[in-house]
Amino acid sequence: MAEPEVTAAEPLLRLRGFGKRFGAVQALADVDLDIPAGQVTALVGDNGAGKSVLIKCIAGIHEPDAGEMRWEGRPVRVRNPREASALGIEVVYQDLALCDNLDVVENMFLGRERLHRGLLDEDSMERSASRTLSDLRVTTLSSVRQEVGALSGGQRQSIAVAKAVMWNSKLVILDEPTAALGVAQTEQVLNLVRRLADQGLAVILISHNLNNVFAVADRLAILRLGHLVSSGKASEFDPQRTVELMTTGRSSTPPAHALPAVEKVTPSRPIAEAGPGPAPQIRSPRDEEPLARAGGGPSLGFGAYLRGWWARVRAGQSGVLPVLVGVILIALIFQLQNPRFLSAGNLVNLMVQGSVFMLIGMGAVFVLLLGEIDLSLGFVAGIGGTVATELVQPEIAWPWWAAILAALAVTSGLGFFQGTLITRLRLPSFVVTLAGLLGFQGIMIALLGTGGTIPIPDDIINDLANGTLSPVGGWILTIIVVLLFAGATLVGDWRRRRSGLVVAPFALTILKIVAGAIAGAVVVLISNVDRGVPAFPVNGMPYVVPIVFVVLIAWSFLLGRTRFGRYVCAIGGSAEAARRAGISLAAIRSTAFTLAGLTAGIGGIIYASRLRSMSTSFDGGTIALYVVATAVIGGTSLFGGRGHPLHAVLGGIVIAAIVNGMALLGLSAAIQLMATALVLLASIAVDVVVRRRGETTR
Amino acid sequence: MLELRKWCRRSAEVLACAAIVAAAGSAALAEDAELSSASFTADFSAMAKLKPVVAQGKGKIGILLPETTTSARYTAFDEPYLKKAFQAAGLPASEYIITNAQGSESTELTQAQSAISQGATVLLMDPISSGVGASIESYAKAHGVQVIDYDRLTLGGSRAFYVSFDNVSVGKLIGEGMVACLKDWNVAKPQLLVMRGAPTDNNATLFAQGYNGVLEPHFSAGEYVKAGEPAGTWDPATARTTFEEQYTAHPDINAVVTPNDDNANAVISYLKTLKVPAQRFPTTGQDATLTGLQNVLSGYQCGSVYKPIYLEAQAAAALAIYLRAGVQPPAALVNGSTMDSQANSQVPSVLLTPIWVTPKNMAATVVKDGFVASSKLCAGKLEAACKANGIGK
Repeated sequence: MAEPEVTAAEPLLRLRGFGKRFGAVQALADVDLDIPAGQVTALVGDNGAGKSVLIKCIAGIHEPDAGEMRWEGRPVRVRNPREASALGIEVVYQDLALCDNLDVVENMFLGRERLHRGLLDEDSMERSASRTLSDLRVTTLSSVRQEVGALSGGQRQSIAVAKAVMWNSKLVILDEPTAALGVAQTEQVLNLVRRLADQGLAVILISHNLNNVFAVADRLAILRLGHLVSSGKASEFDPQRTVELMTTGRSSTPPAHALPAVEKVTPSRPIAEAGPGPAPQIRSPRDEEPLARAGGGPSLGFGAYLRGWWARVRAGQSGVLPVLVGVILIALIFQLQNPRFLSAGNLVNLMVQGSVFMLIGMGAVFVLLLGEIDLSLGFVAGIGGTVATELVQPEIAWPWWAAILAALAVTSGLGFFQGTLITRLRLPSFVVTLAGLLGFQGIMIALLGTGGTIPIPDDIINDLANGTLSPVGGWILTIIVVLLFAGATLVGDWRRRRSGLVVAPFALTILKIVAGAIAGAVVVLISNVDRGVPAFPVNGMPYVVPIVFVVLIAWSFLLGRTRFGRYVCAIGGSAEAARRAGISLAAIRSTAFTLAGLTAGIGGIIYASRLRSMSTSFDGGTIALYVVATAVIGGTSLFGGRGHPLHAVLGGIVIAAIVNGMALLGLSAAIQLMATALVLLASIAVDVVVRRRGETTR
Repeated sequence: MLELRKWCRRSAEVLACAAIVAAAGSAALAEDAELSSASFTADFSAMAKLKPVVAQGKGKIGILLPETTTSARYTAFDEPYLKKAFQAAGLPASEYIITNAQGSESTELTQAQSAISQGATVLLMDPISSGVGASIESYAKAHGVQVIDYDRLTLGGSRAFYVSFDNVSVGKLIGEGMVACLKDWNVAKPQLLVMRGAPTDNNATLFAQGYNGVLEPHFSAGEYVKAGEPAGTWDPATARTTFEEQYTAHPDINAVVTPNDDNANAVISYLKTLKVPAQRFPTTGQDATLTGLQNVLSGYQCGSVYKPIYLEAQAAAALAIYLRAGVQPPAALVNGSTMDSQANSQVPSVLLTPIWVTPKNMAATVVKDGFVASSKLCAGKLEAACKANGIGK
């Protein structure tokens, strides 16, 4: 390694007289250190030597209380991590700070997502992430759309490093990057560290492993008890002298101008895990569910795509498949018992019966994604229904839309209130929302007053759950939706193809559009069959179908295409990673609770509409538990990080189908309770077993 | 009495005579004051008969109400009605203590103990739960204080009396109301769905016992067909689903026995969705809720059982006054008994008979009592129905 010239020009980072005191403890004292660009500076020292404090001062986590920091020749003050990032300083912590539930691209851009007209620009981010990874020759990834949780330790470390260098960073600080890695993976990461320096970045490497240090470092800085005892070119040190300096602060052996003790790893040397020669193109099939723009590389055909899909299902990424199978099974069982179960009239009833659970559940998904729980949603919904009911009473007589908006404002406010208590006061969500469950029931009863039941005189509100579109209206609406879906899918594919990204096979896209069109047509056909009593025909699609659909699309969009949705997933995956990425946890959490309150309000209005009244008999406690069950049955995790509004809709169908079928058969309450319990257990067990299979096959 | 006095005027032994008259007079006083469970009215006039009994007694009456949250009735109706009943009987306000435990069992026990230490000799208690009720009763017993269970029975308790509406007669009124309605609305070949309240609620069983007793002869005579008896619930959303599914399974159903107004309204909401016209499809209910009464007026519900709380309050106040005076309450007042299934004993009870409210007697009952405001009842589309039935101005 040629000795760099640090004579005339000042190094990238120069520390002079740096000190930091924590109470009586002098953690750092009078540290003078130069960090030149294009070199790896290893920071070594025993435990408690002050390595962590030093890098935290550089990264803006601590503010030094003595000394000067010069960056590119200018004195600077770094008061927080954001200011450090702005200068081009990035830290890769020992525990990596990656979100296991996000894919490689999502992790690399976490906190700095690119937007296009306010929405996430996935294509551009995917391209940049792929480019960065191939520049750094991180080549062992099968896809940049792979979840990070499925990667090996070395791959994860590589992603963390790559993430750090993406942002025009000039100094990358690596804290024990190889501590948890095996031999081959360590080598892979050390190669990466070397390449960073060779690309002109300054690198600070903290490591306990002197073999690694001498393998990759150009310079050494040795700390002992907060003092810099020695620093200089790596060639001036050998392991024995280094250990002496680390432990005693003195060295018996003179500076060795001999050869480095360990042969340096050079980028040209073939490396175990990295592919030889120029980095091959990173394949990037997108394996998202459920409406995945999936593909197995531009060359992959339809059959290969299907095989890839099946492999993922077998590996546990089954998506909504178990719940779909469950719905079909439940339908078959009830149909065999009573042939009216699958009659058009009953299916329409089922859609309306499940709508309240689906709606409230779609809001609950956001809270569950964070790894939190909201037990109050049932009564938040109850208050929503009550407020809307009260405001259309003859003595107040607000127009229906104003009453609905006011009700939604109130329920959002309740969600925000609870979210604020949970985030700002750091109270556990279980307790806060349990208090909400009790308190909101009280408020609801107080609002309803002595009578206990208040009828809704407004026909439009009553029609939300009871009215229907005209048969023709149902067709028109469905055709518009299918055309929009087809258009959005085709344009999305075209954009990706134009950007050179992997696209799902064209046949599959067409198949999806056709399937969507058929599903829409089936719903319309079922809805348009006469289900009325003799002499009073009733047909048409209930309004709740488009209402549920609009909320589903809106919330899916929010979750999948906006920063908010991305951050909700990130916090659920790893709150610490999200915090380090600069995400405001409190704001996102409060917003998620607010959103859940808003959605519950919609559900509550539909509940009230279905009964054309609001009553103190409203069983919000059971609803709150059932909505959690709907989301979880659909595939949302109770522990955060995994979930989708679609899960609540599918889970809502399951719950509604069970209740519907058993009421159709006229089973006794005892049997109904036991059977519901069994179905709940079975559906969760299937889901968990399928996913656990995935974890063990990984 | 009159004859006795006439006889006395003729008699020479005036003094002896006066003594006899006085003795007979006090006997007659007791006879006049003899209340029955049917004596009470909306104007509280029957309470005045208790003035002599009030004068005989001493000590305080402690009234323990359970809560304000899950039901507003205690503050809106029970408390004012009890006060009015005591006032009408001439019991000064210093002689009774009304407390509300706000839903806390420990508060209710504390309030009971404090009432006793303030000199209460009789407790009138609506227990939050049978558990706290039983512990209050054993504490009272140890202090020589008698307890009356008000509205809710303490299972496994040791109280002297119980005051409530007769749940079986509530059910009977529902059954009889349905029978009359099927005729009035000309329902041909009635196919009845018989719904009921939650299986966990003993009252639901008693209601069902009442209406089934009325309907059973019609079923066995082949006059009506019982289409089904689905699982019971008090949750209106579940009730609607239950009805939707039973109606899907048995499309011939043309009448539903619903156990309360909330359940009836859930069924009616679906019937309206199916565009079923008024006075075609009978349903029943109880509680005389605003929603229920509007459904009655609009011809979707036959009637609603109204349980005037002033009846319950007067009966309870009367019973407490008798106990305070150490007088055995008349048998016509304590007109029945209720089974305490846990203590396995019959509790002497004042069982009040509620009122079946139809459009015809709505003005004279719920509206007159101020149980619902006619302005709320008659809002919007129901103005004409109200006018036709003499409700409101």
